[in-house]
Amino acid sequence: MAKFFVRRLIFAVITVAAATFIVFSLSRLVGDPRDFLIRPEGYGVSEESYEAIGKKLGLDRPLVVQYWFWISNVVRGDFGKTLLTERPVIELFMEKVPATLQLAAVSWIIATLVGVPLGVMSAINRGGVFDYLGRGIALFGQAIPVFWLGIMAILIFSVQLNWLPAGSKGPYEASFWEQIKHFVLPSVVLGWGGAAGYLRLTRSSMLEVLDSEYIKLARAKGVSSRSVIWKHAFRNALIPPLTFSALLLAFFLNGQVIVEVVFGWPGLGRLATESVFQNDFNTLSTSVLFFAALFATMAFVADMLYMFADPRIRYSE
Amino acid sequence: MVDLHSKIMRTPAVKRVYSPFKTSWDFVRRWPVLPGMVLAVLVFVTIFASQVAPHSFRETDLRQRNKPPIWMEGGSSERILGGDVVGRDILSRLIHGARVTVMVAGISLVSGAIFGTAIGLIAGYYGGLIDEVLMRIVDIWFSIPFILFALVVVLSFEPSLQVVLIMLAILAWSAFVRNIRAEVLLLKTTEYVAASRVAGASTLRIMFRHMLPGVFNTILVLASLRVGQLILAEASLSFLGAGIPAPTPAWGVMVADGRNYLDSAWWVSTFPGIAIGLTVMSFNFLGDWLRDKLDPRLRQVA
Repeated sequence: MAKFFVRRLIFAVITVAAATFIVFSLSRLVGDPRDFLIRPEGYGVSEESYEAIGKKLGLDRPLVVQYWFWISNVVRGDFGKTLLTERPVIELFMEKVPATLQLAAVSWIIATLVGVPLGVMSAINRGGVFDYLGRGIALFGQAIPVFWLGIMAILIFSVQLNWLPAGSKGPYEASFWEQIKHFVLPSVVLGWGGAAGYLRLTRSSMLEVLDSEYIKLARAKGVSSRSVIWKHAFRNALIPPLTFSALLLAFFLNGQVIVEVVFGWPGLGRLATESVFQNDFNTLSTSVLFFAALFATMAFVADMLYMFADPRIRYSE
Repeated sequence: MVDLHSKIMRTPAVKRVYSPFKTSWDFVRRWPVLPGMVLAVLVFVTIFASQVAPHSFRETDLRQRNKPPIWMEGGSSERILGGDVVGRDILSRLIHGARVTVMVAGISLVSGAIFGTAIGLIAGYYGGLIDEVLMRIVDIWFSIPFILFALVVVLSFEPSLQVVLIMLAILAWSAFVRNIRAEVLLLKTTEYVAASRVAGASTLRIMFRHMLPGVFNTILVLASLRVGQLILAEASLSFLGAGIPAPTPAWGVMVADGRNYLDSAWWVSTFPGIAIGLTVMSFNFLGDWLRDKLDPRLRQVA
């Protein structure tokens, strides 16, 4: 058990390091970041200062060395500065992370609260109203592109009906109610796909459990149907959705890139996309580090949850 | 006991006659009729795009700028689904866009499937260190945020059709590896594989003559479940501006084009989105149906 734990942890670290290295090297391929600072057709820049900037950014060294410097600085808590404004990346991150985490958390709660109960209901009365409702949500959630759903939500609820704001997180000093309003569209749009995943997973796992021998036995013994469903079946059917929930939070932080762009949400996803387009490699590398580390953590948590929830699984390797 | 019971229950006293409505409804429920129709239209339109489309996809006409669809006030038969920001015919662009979608999804899926299956076969067959290394690579690949990765890659090599195809193939392969590997691990213990090894078959022969046919159903099901995701990924990349470059009419780009005209011309963004949704939905339906037919064990995968 302890051995498995340690092994899993080491792999998580290797994974994150490899992921950041890949993106780090790629971002160096995009082109010389100096081109964004100095435009050849603009003001003249002497050869010497061009070289000096290259030296300052460490561009004259081989790629692996550059990565080594970057990662060892990161370990010491220095994430470098942004290319254009020369602000510390960490400062920028601290501004953006809360918005991203909040949106992901709210969407995650919505997805869970919609997906799991509806999945159970849909499995219990197969072919009933809830089954069709649930399957409809799942069907649309997995087929409709997130960016289009976002645009349509804006079109209907902001442009036509004028009920909800079209984007952004609203000013800091806005009232609680106002802030909630800003959350509604992005979180529902983001949560829909997750709810669809939950629904399908819960439904199939519930159906499988309800079909098992011990449920039949419980029924035959005369246990009330509510007790059979919630006490006997639901607990065991919960394992797949439980592990899914950990990964879903990571997926949300990932898929959020598009939602943030559509809704103009002041979060990490947008920051990361902009840093790609501007070739701001410190910001980009840090974003990827953040996303990859989060994903690795969540995958780890999912494994642990899985082991905890299902004692039959023993990792004896 | 069970057999006897069902025999008795199933013997009908009177032969039932179902209404034609019920029989045709049953047919629709049993076979993927609607998705099949949508996909048939898609394929037809892909092949005959230039013949079917009423206009060229790049012909601009400023008089038709943001022209509403034909059934709305001010619409004309010149632009059946309306005109876009520079007056191009949305219907014709949708038709030509279908070609892009089918081609991109098809090519990336096939190459991803071939590569993923090969890796899965190798990992499962050899086991040990090779298996461990390959599976860790898959794990690493899973932890990279795809959209960001694709953005970086596409921008480093200038957006082009080839780069997008490669990116999507890279997205497609990982799903195959895990499932094919699991399948191969089972096949390895079968007697016919042992027998062929005793008979002196080479490794390659065992892999491709004896194991590959065994995993073929799984490949088919995984592929059909994966197409939808590839189409969505392509559309997302196009939407973010890192997809197939203009003037090729990709559906995702068309949605992005209409974003700034939501209050005056909603149709510009709406119709391409419906096209994406319908296509993906049909593929998903078909995938579910295939899975239930061919390989119900994969239920948990999707």
